[in-house]
Amino acid sequence: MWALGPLAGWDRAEARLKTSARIVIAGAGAAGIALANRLSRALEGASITIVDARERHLYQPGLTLVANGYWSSEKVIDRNERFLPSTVRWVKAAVAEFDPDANRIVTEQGEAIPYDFLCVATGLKVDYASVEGMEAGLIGRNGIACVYDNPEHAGRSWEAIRAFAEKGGKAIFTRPPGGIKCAGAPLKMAMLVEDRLRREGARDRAHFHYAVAGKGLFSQPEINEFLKKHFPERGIDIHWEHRLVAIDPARKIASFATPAGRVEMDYDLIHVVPKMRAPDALANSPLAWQSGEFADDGRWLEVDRHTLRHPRYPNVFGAGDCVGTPIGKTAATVKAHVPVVVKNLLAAIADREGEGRFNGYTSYPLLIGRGRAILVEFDYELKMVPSFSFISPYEIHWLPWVMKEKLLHGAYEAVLRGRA
Amino acid sequence: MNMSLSSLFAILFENLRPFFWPLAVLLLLELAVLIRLWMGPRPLPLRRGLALALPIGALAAIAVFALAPAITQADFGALSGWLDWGFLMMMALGAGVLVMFLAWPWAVWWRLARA
Repeated sequence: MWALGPLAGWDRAEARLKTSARIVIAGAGAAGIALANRLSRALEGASITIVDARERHLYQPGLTLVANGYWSSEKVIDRNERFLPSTVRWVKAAVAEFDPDANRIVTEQGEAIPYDFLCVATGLKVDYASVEGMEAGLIGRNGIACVYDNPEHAGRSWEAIRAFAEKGGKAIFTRPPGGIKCAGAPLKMAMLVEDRLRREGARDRAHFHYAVAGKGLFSQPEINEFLKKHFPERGIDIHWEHRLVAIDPARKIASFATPAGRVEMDYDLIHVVPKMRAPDALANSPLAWQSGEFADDGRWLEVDRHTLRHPRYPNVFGAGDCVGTPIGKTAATVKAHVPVVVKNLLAAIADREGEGRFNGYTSYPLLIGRGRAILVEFDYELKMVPSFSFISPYEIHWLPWVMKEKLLHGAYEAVLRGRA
Repeated sequence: MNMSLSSLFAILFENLRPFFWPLAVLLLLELAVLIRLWMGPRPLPLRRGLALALPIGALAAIAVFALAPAITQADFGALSGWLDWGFLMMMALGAGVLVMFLAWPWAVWWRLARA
């Protein structure tokens, strides 16, 4: 059950902190904008700068609905300008370099922006080059789909899926190793496409395959067990330890690295999920993990997993997809990250020890088919932490679908505005 | 995850934000009728107005019950167990009560006009 706390949130209950600190937020995605809004309300006299070249704001949790024809692309496109507070300076440029030893970042135009405190919220990079023969321009052609990155890709994926639904054939859905944005999306894509063919009476014309790089379908063990039974029941063959390494769009052949060597599979539709990693400027900076799993995986931002503070550069904090923590590159995680970062950053400005602790919260409305979903919420310990005691995370219902389809977009915008 | 009441209000507000102008017009019209009734003759035919508003509310409840799955791009087959059916019924009931209360002043006004 949602704990109904006091009417006023902590940010309005506490007086504004007076400071002349220069705060730079790198990235104007969900985490960056939410940080800008919360910090601008919590601080008086601070100079807050947000740095990002992107003018569009994308509601990325809606991309699976776009890629399956339930939403139009326009529904997930907005303007960053609409959400940024007027007191925040927006430098419309991409970050080219992080220089934490000099407490500054440098934009692609060469402008050096100094800071006293830095919030890194750059998001991540979909590394199309990690799959030989793959490039973003191929999405929507030759049966190639990829839900990630932007609504254009999702819209073109829908065209590929629609063509596949008419003709049938062999569909392959892939899952790379390592941390990816919305780790439920590859699973949702497989289930929604399978459901569509079933509804259109074309299921017997199609074969479904799910090629996963590792030995599990989902990090949360109970949901993993559920899916391991559910996929075969729906006729989706699981191929364990199959990492997509190359694609030949002309011949429609996908190559996988497996423990038994390289395996080729033909396809009529393939949902390609490339590896994901930190953007180049972050990955190549001293701020990235220098060793260990998060360095090997995607050179993600190094942070303490609970305080979200950089252990080597204590005036640096991280939020959103770019941070190297064990689970959760979702909008729900952003919602949980941002108040923790703000709390600890305010404490740092006041020269106090921050009390904000992130428990690893992440959430996925796992779409099983049209109108049906499971609401999965868990933490670092992979324990279920349901927000609503009356919605079982183990049962398929219409209600989580309603939340996804009708309510979560509004919740997301409340997070952006720093109100939820 | 824990969520404060202010967060819940913020989420509700953001979900209603796209409908701000239609809602504002509706509320202004409602207010205009209420003021008109308040300044008009007494006694007001409240009971006869309610007798008209009740079936309007019931119709709204039935409409929401019948259409809500389709509005969410689903169908009745997607509903499973007491949770989904209870949610649908609560939504329909809530919409019915809301429409009934909104329709009540109009119904009173209509009765007055025909008296």
